[in-house]
Formats: sequence, structure tokens, C-alpha cells
Amino acid sequence: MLEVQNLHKTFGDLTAVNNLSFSLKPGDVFGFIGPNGAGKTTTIRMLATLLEPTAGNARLNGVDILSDPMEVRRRIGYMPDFFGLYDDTKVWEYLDFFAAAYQIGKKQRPEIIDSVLELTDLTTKRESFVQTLSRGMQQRLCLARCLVHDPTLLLLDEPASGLDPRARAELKELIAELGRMNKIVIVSSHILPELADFCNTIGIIERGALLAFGPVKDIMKQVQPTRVIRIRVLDGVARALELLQAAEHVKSAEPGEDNVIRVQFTGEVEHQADLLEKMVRDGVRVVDFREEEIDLEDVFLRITTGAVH
Amino acid sequence: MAANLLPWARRALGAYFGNPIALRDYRTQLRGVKALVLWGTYLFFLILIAVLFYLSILSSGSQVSIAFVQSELHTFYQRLMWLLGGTVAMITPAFTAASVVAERQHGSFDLLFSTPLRLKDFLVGRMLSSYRYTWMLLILSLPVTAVGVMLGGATWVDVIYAYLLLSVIGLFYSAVGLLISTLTAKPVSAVIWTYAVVGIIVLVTFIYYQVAYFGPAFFGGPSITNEFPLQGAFSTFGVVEVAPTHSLLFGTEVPNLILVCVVVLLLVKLLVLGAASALSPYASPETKSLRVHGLIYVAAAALVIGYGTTNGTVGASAFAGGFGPAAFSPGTPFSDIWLGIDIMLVTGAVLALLFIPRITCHGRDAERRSRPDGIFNSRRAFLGTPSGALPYLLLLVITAGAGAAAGLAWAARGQPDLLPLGLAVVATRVYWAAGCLVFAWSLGRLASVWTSKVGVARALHLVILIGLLVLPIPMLSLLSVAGPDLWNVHPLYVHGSAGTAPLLWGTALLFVGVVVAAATRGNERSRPVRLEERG
Ligand SMILES: Nc1ncnc2c1ncn2[C@@H]1O[C@H](COP(=O)(O)OP(=O)(O)O)[C@@H](O)[C@H]1O
Ligand SMILES: [Mg+2]
Repeated sequence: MLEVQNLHKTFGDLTAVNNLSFSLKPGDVFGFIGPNGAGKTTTIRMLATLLEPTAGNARLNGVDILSDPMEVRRRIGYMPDFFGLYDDTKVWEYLDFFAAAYQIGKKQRPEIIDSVLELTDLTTKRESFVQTLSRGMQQRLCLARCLVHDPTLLLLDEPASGLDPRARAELKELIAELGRMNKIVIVSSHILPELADFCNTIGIIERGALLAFGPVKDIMKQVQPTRVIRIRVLDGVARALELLQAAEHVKSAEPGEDNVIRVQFTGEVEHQADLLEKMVRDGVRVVDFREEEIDLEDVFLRITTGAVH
Repeated sequence: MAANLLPWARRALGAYFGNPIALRDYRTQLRGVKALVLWGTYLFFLILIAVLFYLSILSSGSQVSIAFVQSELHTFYQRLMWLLGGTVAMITPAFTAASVVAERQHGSFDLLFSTPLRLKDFLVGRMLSSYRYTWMLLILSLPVTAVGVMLGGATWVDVIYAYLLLSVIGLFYSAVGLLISTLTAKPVSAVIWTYAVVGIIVLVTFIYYQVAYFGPAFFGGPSITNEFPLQGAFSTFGVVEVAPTHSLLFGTEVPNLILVCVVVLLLVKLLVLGAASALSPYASPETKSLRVHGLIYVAAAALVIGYGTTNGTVGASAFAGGFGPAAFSPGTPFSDIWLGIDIMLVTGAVLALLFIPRITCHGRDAERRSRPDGIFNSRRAFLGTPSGALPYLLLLVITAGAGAAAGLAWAARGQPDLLPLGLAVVATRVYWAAGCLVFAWSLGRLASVWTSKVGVARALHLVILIGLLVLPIPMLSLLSVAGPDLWNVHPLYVHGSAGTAPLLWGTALLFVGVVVAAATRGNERSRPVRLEERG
């Protein structure tokens, strides 16, 4: 359980993080989204006990980041927005070093190193020098480093930046796996769509303030109370339109090209099913009936521009 | 009790054995051809220079007597050790100078300190990794030194003692580099600063050594004994002469080898603590520990000096000729008594100069430990915040005075008539020193008012302090050559003068300091900064 309470950070006259409060439970994969300079890194560094908050506090399983930073460090894995790999070091040596830093005994280390290499799919690279790995592999090695001590909370600062789509997909899979292992994972990014499909909670931050926090669906709904349903009929568009406009929960229905009708719908999913049933019963020949994907980029822009007045 | 001792011992030893940082560096340091080429080159030049030495000695004389050849062979050995001494002084500090700051630049700082790695383990590990190079330098030079021994210029015992001294002094230079490495932002400035500071140390220790070596001849002290004042024993260029000598400590002969090891290890501890404190946040145990250590060290040094100057049994007195219990008798000119301690006090003042801006200046841009939190708060003396700076500085002076008084009383036991005069001397010096510190501190407050950036304020403060000390020197020298001795006007020399000068100077500085500090109060009142106490 991570509880963040009124976390606040100023640098001179600049407020980098403004009274942040939220809480996360094991298994939560939290997407922390905001434009560059929003305060994501500052927040994560405070949670990692690397930066003193100006005010406020956070607790991880009841342990305070201010009064007992060493105990907190034992329970977190922090991956900064740069690699920090040492040249001339082999993959296993790199992991062995961090395992030693986490005070894991010499005898347990080889076994742990093998298991994190397995998890991050780097087993074959055990003896390679870290500078010879590809960017994606280096990123996974950094993640492996954060896992040697089996942390409760993972803080991943922009892990996907600079990766090619394939490496990105592999990383996403890995992060989702960590959520299934019942860890709390915080992943930051400045791109919402990058996170939405594997995070179960997101928070949107701008200028240090948390503008939205909650499950992905709730936030979408908050931004866009109506959903768009895209209906394609075989023929009889005019009749279908007539029917739709008379139906409940339909705000508007507009015909488009190719016998497609876009419906602004305010109802729940049950009402959506009822609508389809009604159309079919009334003899409309429906080819396609589906909810249109909300443009995440659009959601993000809508929320964040709200804060700039 | 025993149950608590074991984990404590394991933790304490863990910093040295199985230190993760040292192990990591050990695995990578000597990897590859680069290291081989480096050490090969080193060995090649060492042998080349040794051969040149040898040839130059062979060709220098035409007489052939046993005694002459023996002395020439000793010269050969001594030059070899100078070469090694120079190498240690030149190369050792460079390794640590880059160590911490390079890690900071590399970005791995955050990685390390998000793990439960203790600051002490990190710093000790960094030290060990760099110190390994010092040992490599020394071990690789053994074959060359062995030639010197085989030719009969020295014995193996001489060599072992000399190497021990060199390695211990090398450790000291490593620690200096380490501290500077934590205080700088870029590797280049770390290396430049380290060479500047180590250069000064090499120079000062060399002067101490020379004065101690030739001093007795000048001051008419005992000529050829194995007694050698400790403060002259820290030069890398004096190891051959210092190795067989001893110092008189509280009337006991103690080998300088042991004393140097003990003093260096204590100083290294202080420097590493300083580095740990510099890296640690608000209210850290490291800062508290550093400040407590500072008090203890000052008290111990004052005790030894107080005892020695009264009794004439500590090395410091050898500079001024051997003087006995009569040192504080009314007829003795004070300038003679204090002559030997002058250099030590100046060294101490220079160290204090570097330290005072660090603890005094505040800035609104800074981390919590350096944000303005008031002028004077005695409860924060060990917390490290600006309001604790003056209380701590005053505590230092008082501790030094108490230590000196205790040493003095100890040395003068059985001679009660000496005591009041000695105590009066100590009391006036404490007052004078307090005046100096309050004045120096107030300038830091002034610098902090001028800018809101703590780094700028510290640099400014340092420049002002150095300027105030250095600028009057040419003028004073000129005036003193032409007319009466005016040196006593300079705050660093005023302690040597008798009578009321220290009191007058102390009062003047105290007054100016308090006025300046009072003028800076408004700064904090007009722009309050939120500073919640940590619950
Ligand atoms: N050490 C620092 N000193 C001064 N300002 C800083 C410091 N670190 C971050 N900032 C400022 O704080 C704000 C938030 O930065 P950051 O947390 O890095 O944003 P993000 O990670 O969301 O891109 C930025 O305006 C940045 O310039
Ligand atoms: Mg960032």
C-alpha cells in the first residue's frame, strides 16, 4: 500500500510538485502522465527518497519516506530516466553489484541473478558486457537491476522513451507481468496512449498538480461523458436514423459516408445492448455496431489544457 | 551486550570487506590491455630514472673510499624514495578526485542512493578502489628499491618503514581528493581543486619537514638525536629520515611511524565524515557525527599543544628551541613561545576558511539544510543548518580553550605560580579567536543577503575572507621593513603579541561582527521561508 499525502516540492520560487495526494494498492499499475516539466521525475525522486519534499509525506506499507528512508529503499526499485550502466562490466557483475548493495548474501546472489535474467529474457546475455547490449536489452537490464531484492514498489521513470516499437511491446508485457506479481508499479510517460492499455490506474499531472486520478475508464468518462457508437447498416439509412433519434439515451445521430451512422450515446452498456436489439427487431439490417475508440491523445490534451486557463 | 556487538562488528567490517563498490571496481579496474600498458609504462619510467640516478652518482666522484661509496649508495636509495614520494603525491589524489564526481556526472548516483547502501560504505568503497592504485604503485616499485637494498644503500627494515609511511600519507591524499570530489560538480574542477589543495599540503608538509630537520641547528637545540617533531613527519619527501625517529609525547618517546599512522587515520576519518556529511540531507547522523568529531579533535590537539608549549616536551616547541617550564614566566617574549605553533595555527585557519562559508552561508534556492532558519539557535549546533553555525563555531573555540587550559594545567602541576599567567594567555586567545570567528561568520551572512543562491554566497564569502587575510600582507611587510614591526595588526599574528592587543582586536572584531549580523536580520524577516519541523 502506497499512500502519498500532500507531497510538495519547490525549487526556489518554482513549484515543481503541488500538494500531490493519492494511494495505490498491490497489483496497481499506475500510469503517471504529464507533459515535459510537469513534475513527474521530481515526484518519483521524492518517493525514491532521493529528494527531500518541501512538505508532505508518503508511506509505503506504513514506512515513512522521511523518517525511515533506508527501510523504504529496501522495498523500492527505482529506474531513472537514464541508464546509468557502468562500462566494462558484465551483465551478471552489474546485477551482482546491485544485489550486494541491497545487502543480499553472497550465496543467494547467483540464484537471484539467474531468476531476474530469466524474467527479463536476458539469460543468454549473462556474460556480455553491458555496453554491447541493444537499447532495449539495456532497458530490461535496468529493470532486472530493480528486481533483485523483490521490491514492493517499482518506480519507472519514462521507461519506454527511446525504444523501438518491438522493444516497447516487450517492456509493456514485462511491466504488466510485474503487476500480476502483485507489486505496485508506477510508470511515467508524457504520452498517454503508451500507457493506457496496460495500466489499470492513471494520473494526469501538469505544472505539479494532479488533474485526474483513477481507473482509465473513469477518467475517460469524466472527460467524455458521451460515447460514440458507430453503426453501419446495409441499407435504409433514413429509416435507421428515424429510429435512432427516437430512441432513449441518444443525444444525436449523424449519417456519414458508406451507410455509417455516428451516434452520441449517453447510456450504459445495457442500454447499448437494448438499442441494438431494438434496431434488429425493427428490421434494420445492421452490418456493424461498435463503440468508437476514444482518441487518448485527445483526452490528454483536453485535460491538460484545462489547467493552463 | 555481546549480542549487540556482533551485528555492529559485522556492519563495521562490512564497509571494508565485501564492500559492494570496492568489489565492483576490483572486477573492472584491471581489466583489459589498457591497464597493462599503463602499469608497464610506469615501471619502464621508474627503472629508467633509477638507472639515470645510478649513473649520475657513479660519475660524480673520483675518490674511492668505502665510506664515500656507502654514502653515495645511500644517496641513491634516498633519491629513489624521493621519486616514489613524488609519484605518490602526484598520482594518488587524482584517482579519488575523480571518483565521486564522476559517479555523479555519470548519473549513477541516484541508482546507488535508491538502494540501502550506506554513505559510509559508498565512500569507503570509493577510497579502497582508488587506494588500490597507490599500493600498485608501491608494489611495482619494489624491484627497483630492492636494487638499492642489494647495493647496500639501505636495509629491508628501512624500506618497509618508508613504504608504510608513504602508503599512509598516500591514504591521506586519497581522502583529501575524496572530500573535494564530493564538493565539486565537475570532474575537471575536482581534479584542479585537488591538485591545488594537495600541492599546498605537499608544500606545507615539506616546509615543516625542512624546518624540523634543520631547525635544531638554527635554534641551538639538541643536534643529533632520534627525536623529530611530529608535524615535520608528514612529507612524502621525508620518509627516509623520519622512519627511524620518535617524538616526545607527554614525556614519552613514541615512534613517529606509529604517530603518523594514528594521526593520518584520524584525519582520514574526519575527511570521509566530511564527505559523507556533504552528501547527506538535512539533520543527518553524518553531519552530527562530523561536528562531534570536530570538537573532539580540536580538544585533543589543544590539549597536546597546551601541554607541549608549557612543558617543552612536544615537537611543536622544538621550532622555538627547547624551552622548559619557564615558557610562561614573565620575562619570556611571547613571540618566541608561539613561533613554532604559528605554522600550525595558520594551517588550521586555512582549513577553517574552507569550512566556515560551507556552514554559514544560506540560500533560498538550497536544500533544507542550507535554507535560512534564523541567526542563532544553539539547539541546531549539530544539525548543520545556518542558524547552528555560530553556536558551533563558538563551541569549537571554547573547546579548544578548555583543551589548552587542561594541557597547561597538567604540564604546570607542581608549579602553581605558572598557572594563572598561562590561563590568562589562553583566555585572551579564546576571546580573540571568538572575535575573529564572529566577524568571519557575519561576512557569510552578508554574502547570503546579497544573493539567494547558496553556492554563490559561499564562493563570495570565501573570496572575501581570503582577500581580508592576504591583501594586507604586502603592505604590512613593506611598513615593517621601514619602520616598527606592524605585523601584530594582522589578525592571524595578533596572538603572538603580549598584553592587550588580543583583547582589543577581539573586541573590535566582535563588535563589527555583531553589527553586520544584526544588519542582516531583515533579510529573513522580509522574506520568510516555510520550514516545517520534521515530525
Ligand atoms: N534540481 C532542480 N532545480 C531546479 N528546478 C528543477 C530541478 N529539478 C527539476 N526542476 C524543475 O521542476 C519542474 C519539474 O521537473 P521534472 O519533475 O523533471 O518534470 P518531468 O519529469 O515531468 O518532465 C521543471 O520545471 C524543472 O525545470
Ligand atoms: Mg522527467
